[in-house]
Amino acid sequence: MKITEIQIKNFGKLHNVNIRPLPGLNVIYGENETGKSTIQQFITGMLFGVEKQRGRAGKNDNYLRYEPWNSGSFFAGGLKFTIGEKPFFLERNFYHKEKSAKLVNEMDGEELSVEHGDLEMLLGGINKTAYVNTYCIQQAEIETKKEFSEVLQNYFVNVSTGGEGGMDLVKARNSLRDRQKEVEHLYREKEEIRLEDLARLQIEEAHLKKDIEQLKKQQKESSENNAKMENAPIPPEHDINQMAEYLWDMRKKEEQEGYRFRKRISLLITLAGLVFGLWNLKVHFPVQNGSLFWTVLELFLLFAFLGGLGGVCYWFQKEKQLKDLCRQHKEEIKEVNLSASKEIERQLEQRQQENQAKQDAVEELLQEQLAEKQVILLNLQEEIAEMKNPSEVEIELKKQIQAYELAYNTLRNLSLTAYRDRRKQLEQEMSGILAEITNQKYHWMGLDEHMNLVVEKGTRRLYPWQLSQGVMIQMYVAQRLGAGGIFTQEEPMPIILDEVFSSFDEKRLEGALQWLGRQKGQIFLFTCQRREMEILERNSIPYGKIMLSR
Amino acid sequence: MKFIHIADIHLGVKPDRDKPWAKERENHSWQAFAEVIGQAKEEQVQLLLVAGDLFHRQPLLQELREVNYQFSKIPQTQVVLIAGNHDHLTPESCYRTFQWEHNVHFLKEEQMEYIELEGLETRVYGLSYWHKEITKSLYRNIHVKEGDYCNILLAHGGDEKHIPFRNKDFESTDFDYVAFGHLHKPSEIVKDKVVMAGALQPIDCNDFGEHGYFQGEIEDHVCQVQFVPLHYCEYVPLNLKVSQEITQGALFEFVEEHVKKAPSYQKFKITLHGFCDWGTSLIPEELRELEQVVQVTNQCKADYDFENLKQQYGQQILGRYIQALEKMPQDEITKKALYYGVEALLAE
Repeated sequence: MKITEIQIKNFGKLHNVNIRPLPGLNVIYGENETGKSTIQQFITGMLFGVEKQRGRAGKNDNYLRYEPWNSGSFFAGGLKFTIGEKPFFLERNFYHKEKSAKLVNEMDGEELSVEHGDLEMLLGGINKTAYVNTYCIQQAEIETKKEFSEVLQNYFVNVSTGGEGGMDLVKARNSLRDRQKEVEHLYREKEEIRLEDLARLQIEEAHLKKDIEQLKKQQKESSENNAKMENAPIPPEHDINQMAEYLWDMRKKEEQEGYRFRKRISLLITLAGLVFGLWNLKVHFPVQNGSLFWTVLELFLLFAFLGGLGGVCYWFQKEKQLKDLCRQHKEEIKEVNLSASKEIERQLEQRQQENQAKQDAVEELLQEQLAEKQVILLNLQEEIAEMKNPSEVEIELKKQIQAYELAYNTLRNLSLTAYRDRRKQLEQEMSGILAEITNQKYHWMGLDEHMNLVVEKGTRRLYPWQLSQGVMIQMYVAQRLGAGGIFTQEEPMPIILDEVFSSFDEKRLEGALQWLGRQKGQIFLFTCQRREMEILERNSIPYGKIMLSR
Repeated sequence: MKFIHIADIHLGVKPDRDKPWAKERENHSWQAFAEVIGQAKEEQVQLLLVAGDLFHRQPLLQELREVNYQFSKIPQTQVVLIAGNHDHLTPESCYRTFQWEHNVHFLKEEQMEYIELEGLETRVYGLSYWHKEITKSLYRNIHVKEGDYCNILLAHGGDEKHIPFRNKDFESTDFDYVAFGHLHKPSEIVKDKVVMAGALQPIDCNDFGEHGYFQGEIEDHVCQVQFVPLHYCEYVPLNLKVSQEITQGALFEFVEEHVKKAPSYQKFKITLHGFCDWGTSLIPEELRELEQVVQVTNQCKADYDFENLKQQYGQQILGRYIQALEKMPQDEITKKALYYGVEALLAE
């Protein structure tokens, strides 16, 4: 694209200014405040329009900035240019209430529609941001604006895939990420509620397990208790008084002893009576008639014998009676003992039965409680297992998250591949330009992973800020020119260089100007110094001279 | 003989646990059960058939006592029940040892058995679940024993993991009536003969439509049944087709209005579908917060013609994106991702 005529009717401080640039290099010279930047803004405004910002006006609002000083409503201009030898005439009314644009193909008089993107198509699909960041090179903003790396990425992808621009990849990816985060947030919310419930159930489960443990322990203790009770000795409640019995026994034995002793004495007296009676009878009676004394003695002995015999009988009888009494008594005791033990046994049995019944009741209760708790535990565990599964809603959200992830990654991969293809091309283009500007001092420049410029010097890779101001500007110029070439599929747009060479020394400036002179495209070099023109003239480089004055 | 056939009472179930009405819903199973008992008494029904899943989980002794108490209130009604997959007979199950009232007959065997009901000239066949799942088709080719009885099969199952059967298995059955449970949607598999009672009340928000029990009469081997709905809770699907013109505000107002008009026992499960600009964007929270709205699902899609887009954008990123996703396995996630990505790329 080559601009053939700039018609500023009313734009900022400029009224009725007509400029007819050359198709190649043009130097626009003017001291400060002569309207150099107004011309730049006019060109941009003609190509892409000037939008009045809504709401509070900022200092960056170009509409307000270039609203004509003399009249707010007459705010217009025209631009003649050729694209591929075809002449076009573009007219715009910038006034926001009567905004209009008219584009005419001057060859056949056909009117094209700016509204429907005909101009955009003519410009090769480049948008304002990309244009401002590439073709318009200003010293003040020489360092590529941050968003430019995004613009680069987008353009790499869209241009390399044959796009007409318009699709904002970075924005698309960001919006996918944002959406994903929103859904993830929702998912976490839902999950949290479920996990809280789950935790509550698990605590319940732990308590229940403890309860069951406790119950089991109780059960065990209770059955042990039972066993103990069965072995316990039975206190003798209805037993015979053994002490009294013993004493009674002793007394009876003593009594018996007494009877026995008396029996023996009686027996002795009987025997003595018998022996002495017989002896007396034999000695004193058959031979001589005994005296009275012997008769009395004999009678006494007989009496003793009979008495002794009677005593023996009596005491024998007495002893026998006692013996019978003792035997009887013993039998009685035995009987009493027997019946007593039976009673005890019966009572014991009864008590055991009672205990058993009590024990059984306790154990049954425990068992029932235990069984109930175990069922509750089982049900709880089932519920926990169910609760561990994400809910229907969670599953749906998870799927959405995965889908966003997939969309994001696919887009990223696609742009990465496209970017890699395109990046090489850009780097080659940029490197070529840089080598030329720097008189082959730097051969290669490229982009790092963050789209920052790097330049190769020997084996070192350097960033612009590590280099002198001059080289830095050269790099940026090379980058923009290289990128500009890539961004426009059609003819390259005019390059606008605004005071970019002010820090160059003579030699470097000469190199740069020589390179500019060799370019096929149209170049506008804005400057407030005369040295560019002097060098161009000295080197006999043809250029259009446009002098601005106050 | 008059009878009532219920199934899937799921006593103890806790539906909608994250909703404000969760507590209320917990009581519904018991309330509905009690209502059936009341109904049996009032209608002087002679037979109450409980076709499994009386309980949502393993019954507690206490719960069995409660149920038994309810049965004790209808001594003139013979109750026959079986255990389903939810309350299946575990080795420790209280079901095994529980002493029922004399009018209650629990068919607890794992194999088919039958109970002869005195005075009713009726035999009820059935078996209980001893495991959570039974994949054998146990109800196929069952023949009734000799004798002039009214024969009823009490059964539970109907999906592949729970005694599967095909409808034609019952087309020529010996039984006078087959009382099925398990599937929650009530239906007459063979009219007046083979009946899936459905859940007495819905168990979760996917059990749409009316729920209740079947009441019927068998006379001379001819049976007639009638569905009786209970209205403690009913989930209603509300499928809304939205279009570009409908705003979120309008949608909200429409749903609010619709819900207001509905009886209070109805709970709505809303699904949005159709094509709209805000296809994949999140549904307004207010919609979910509406009373009586149990769930909101958004299946809206932006109205994209992918073939056309592919042609239009061919080798550009959009075209390549569509192609890349079309090459992937076409599952739900890929399909969603296709929409999401195209939506993001086409966004202004």
